[in-house]
Amino acid sequence: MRRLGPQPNEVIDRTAPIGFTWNGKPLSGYRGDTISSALAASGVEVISRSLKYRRPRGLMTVDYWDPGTLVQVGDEPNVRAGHRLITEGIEVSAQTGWPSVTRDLGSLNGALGRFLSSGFYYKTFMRPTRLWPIYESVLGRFSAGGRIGASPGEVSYDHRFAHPDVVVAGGGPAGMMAAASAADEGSQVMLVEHEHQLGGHLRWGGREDHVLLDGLLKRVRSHPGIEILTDSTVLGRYEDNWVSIVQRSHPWVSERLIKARAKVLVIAPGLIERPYVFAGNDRIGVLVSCAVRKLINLYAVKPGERAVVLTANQSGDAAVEDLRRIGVEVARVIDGRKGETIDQVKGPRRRVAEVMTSGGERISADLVVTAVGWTAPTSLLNMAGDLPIYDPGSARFFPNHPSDEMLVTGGLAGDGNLAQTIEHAQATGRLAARRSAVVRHRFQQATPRAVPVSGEPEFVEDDRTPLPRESHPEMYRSKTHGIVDFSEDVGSKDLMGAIAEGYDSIELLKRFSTATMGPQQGKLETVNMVAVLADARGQSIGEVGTTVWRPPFAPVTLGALAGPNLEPLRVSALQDWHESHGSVGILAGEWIRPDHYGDSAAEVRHVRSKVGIIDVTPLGKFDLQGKDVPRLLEMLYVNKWSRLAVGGVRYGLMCNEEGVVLDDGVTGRLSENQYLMTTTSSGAGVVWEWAENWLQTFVPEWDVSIVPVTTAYTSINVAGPSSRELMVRLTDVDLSPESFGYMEVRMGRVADVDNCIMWRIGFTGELSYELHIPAGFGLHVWERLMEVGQDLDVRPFGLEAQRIMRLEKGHFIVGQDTDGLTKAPTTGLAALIKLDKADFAGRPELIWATEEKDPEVMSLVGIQPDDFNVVPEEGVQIVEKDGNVIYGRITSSRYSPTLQRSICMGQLRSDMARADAEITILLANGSRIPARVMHHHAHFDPEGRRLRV
Amino acid sequence: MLCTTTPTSIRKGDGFVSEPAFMSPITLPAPTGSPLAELSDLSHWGKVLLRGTGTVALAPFGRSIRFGDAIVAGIRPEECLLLDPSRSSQNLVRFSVNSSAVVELTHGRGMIELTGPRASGVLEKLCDLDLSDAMTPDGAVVAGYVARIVCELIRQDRGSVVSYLVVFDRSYGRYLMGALQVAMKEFNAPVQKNS
Repeated sequence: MRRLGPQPNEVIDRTAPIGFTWNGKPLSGYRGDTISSALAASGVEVISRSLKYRRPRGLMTVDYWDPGTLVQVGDEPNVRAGHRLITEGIEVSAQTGWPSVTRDLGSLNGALGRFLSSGFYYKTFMRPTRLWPIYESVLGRFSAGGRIGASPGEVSYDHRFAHPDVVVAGGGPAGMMAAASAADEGSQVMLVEHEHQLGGHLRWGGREDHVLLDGLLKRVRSHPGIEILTDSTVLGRYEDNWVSIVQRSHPWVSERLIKARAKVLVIAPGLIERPYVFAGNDRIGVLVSCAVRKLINLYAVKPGERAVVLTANQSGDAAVEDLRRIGVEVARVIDGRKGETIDQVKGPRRRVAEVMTSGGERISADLVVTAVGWTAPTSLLNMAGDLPIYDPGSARFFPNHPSDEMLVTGGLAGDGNLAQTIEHAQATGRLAARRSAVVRHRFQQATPRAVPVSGEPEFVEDDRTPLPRESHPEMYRSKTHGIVDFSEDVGSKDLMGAIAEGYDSIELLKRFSTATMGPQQGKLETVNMVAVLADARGQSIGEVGTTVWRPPFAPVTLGALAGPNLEPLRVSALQDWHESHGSVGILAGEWIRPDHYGDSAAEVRHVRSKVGIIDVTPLGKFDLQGKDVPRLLEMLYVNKWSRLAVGGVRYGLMCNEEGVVLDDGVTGRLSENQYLMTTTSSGAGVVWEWAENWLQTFVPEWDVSIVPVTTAYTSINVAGPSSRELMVRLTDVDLSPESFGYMEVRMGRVADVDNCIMWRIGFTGELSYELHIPAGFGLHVWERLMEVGQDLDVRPFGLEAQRIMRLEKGHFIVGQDTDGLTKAPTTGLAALIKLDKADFAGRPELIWATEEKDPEVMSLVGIQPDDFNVVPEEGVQIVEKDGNVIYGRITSSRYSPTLQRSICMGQLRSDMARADAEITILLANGSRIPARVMHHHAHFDPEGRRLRV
Repeated sequence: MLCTTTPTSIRKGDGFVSEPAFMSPITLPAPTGSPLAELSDLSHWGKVLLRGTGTVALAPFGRSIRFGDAIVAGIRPEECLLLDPSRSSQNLVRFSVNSSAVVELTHGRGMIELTGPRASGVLEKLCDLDLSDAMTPDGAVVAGYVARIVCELIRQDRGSVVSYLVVFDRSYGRYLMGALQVAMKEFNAPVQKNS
């Protein structure tokens, strides 16, 4: 192959030469060249090696689906050379072949071909299973998948959501006309074209084609209602016309995934030219007719010197004309319409040199062109549940009954001349616009925010004149055997063998032989495989049916599917302060929180001896209003609430209907009809749903409003023996123990900020005040606490110190110390459960659970290892002393800086959960340590004297 | 941290109003170039949730109504959000008179205004709602995901320029700003402080 002189409609820009390398060798092409066309113009014939037999492969279809042209570009593997445009300096190399793609030792496999039939892999490598790692290692070296770079490189991905009235899949003449027609009717249209340019087959057509193309391009490009996406592919169609589109042409991102909710989807992908199966059909120099026409007309590449053309349609005829025009000698035109065909192609080094026809002729040639028919890419219809129907007269599949919101036009719908195609497409666009208006009307009617509409729009009937179907001979395989799936190296003989073994349904044959399962995913080979099966079964292609195409239509990167890194992260108003004061963050759910400020043990000791402050903003908080709030609290919690006075705070334990612990927290009564409820940080969402579920479903008549206000307040816990002394400097609220006792709430001014809520509770076991400050002033109050408490040596402490102190105090954490089976009576809080209440969530189950004496039910207990210095890992098992019977597990464990010993909490069989019981803990390293069950959950100050001062 | 100074309820000493800074949950970098889409921080606006059947008369579900500088948005059935730059008690009394519950959310919610000819283009990258004029016209109110967090989206155009108010939980402020800035890059759109 070599570059021709300028062609009338070439897409290359000869004023813009581009340099690149192929296997390290410098080559050049022009702007507009694909890698394939540039390689062809430079005389490169062998681009890859086939998967199994390692045969040399070159150009065949000269497009995205060209099976022998997957290449490595820099760090990027599996680049489609028939599609990717060359850019200055790219380093292109073959993915297969050792020591080189032109001289590959792997081609010895070809000699073993008769042993590598379908199923060879499955049958050979499944036993013995212990050898699989060796098999895997060896087979991996034969992979044709290229290599990925060590770093992700300069790539970025994003997503976009779109709601066009009409998505047109395919930017050929029918697609463009349908888009223009729909837009003329007022629709917002998204026109999606897989190739780099619109136009489809018009681009490599004659003068008449280009006149039409120019006109269509002007229309669609100038229409404000049409958004054109080239080098983009409609990947899939899902329920309600949810259409996924990958856009490779976006200037800002490597790939963008567009999620479009199309009111109507117009499917106009055109047709894919199907290769012909005959002996030697995978030799270098065998091309389909469209490939030859593209090489000549788009890229000005001469595909050979002496050609034999097998034609059964106009595309083949046009290829003959193109070849003759550029001076290729057409040695023989074999007319498939007259029953003529090719039997075999031969030649040295797996190149074309001699063609043997069905008439017994032997013709010297270096180029074989086939034009034997089309594959209808019915993928999007398949995805919508429409199974195509085979028409033997036209030798291809056609849509069956697409839904009303899916309209087909162009080659997929039928044949006809250009005028008929354009007329059909125009009618399709008009119909799409009118049907999309009906859908839009429905949407607007159902959406309160939308522009109001009235009346019921009438359904628009399909009054299009169907496109005619041209007669086409059924040409799939010659009388010889050849390759069917060029990606997977599966031949018709392989398929016959598989069928003989009993894999004689199309879906089984596909999976056993792997035909259609390669990178082309059936675009070129599906119908040929069906034809081989039909032949073997003595049935028609229609009777055999086809496989079902699933998304994606074309490969999409995982990066595009994942999109941008959108992982919501929450921070409190104090986060900047924490970060600038040496905090080490920890991710807790969506929240990033200060874990510690350098030494969590020191932080514990400091709080126990002086005063510390901690940011507890993530604590779930809810504003409750209404006269029926006490009734709701009675319903949600196991304990009683009706007598909670204004200014009082109460701890509550919440269970689900099964009596399983759902959450816990404290609620304060701020005024007659207003409460502040707190929940665990991670449980806030669940509690909100739970409460709303009750209010909206079971007791809608209750006067209760519940609103999440977690981040309306910056929550600060001031803890330690000096906390009162610190707080008294910043608030006008009387903090004396007589006026503001344990488990009480006050509202007032803190650090000059009004409307602060303070309650005397604490997770740490120390005298402490939990402040809820309007968040916009949270930093101000925090800084004031640090400022006025300098002489008290106030210091911040983090989550880890708080967790240590809560374990010292024996407070459990819902979800860590409890699980999906933990019922309230086993948590050590049985006294809190008021079964004499009329009703509450979980009551029936809790009655049963309270009476239950099953020894295997787990109970929560405090545990101390005998060895002060061994801290069992959280999650390790409690087992029998010398055996492996599991009695429970450690749920929390830490080294206590206060007690200077290891402390734990755990779930233990109820019959063993008694004070002073001796137990054995199996550590993660396999060793066992003795431990003892405590009298209380609390390891420190079980009477709570310190927090009640 | 950029802060927005607004009248506040902070007092210092007898009768002395100190008005220290209200801390916004977001930080906006300095503006550059001429914007196709522009961000403004309106987190300091008063935001009050009004609940009850009486709120329907203020703004129906899905619609927002301007009352002078203030906006009342029907964010859910029988639930409105009062957005008031002046945070006036008169407005609060006026609009809450028929509410069964009134919850102050000024500190709990951040608010960004996204405005400009490509404002919808920015949102399209983060939000799966249909933002067309037919489905989300000027005045429309909708709750939905923006960058995977639940926000209230209120379209309140500035004259003929499309403009959205995005109301979000303040804890997501830092994250949301990052997501918006990335989304705006392709439009060469600066983010701009504009309180």
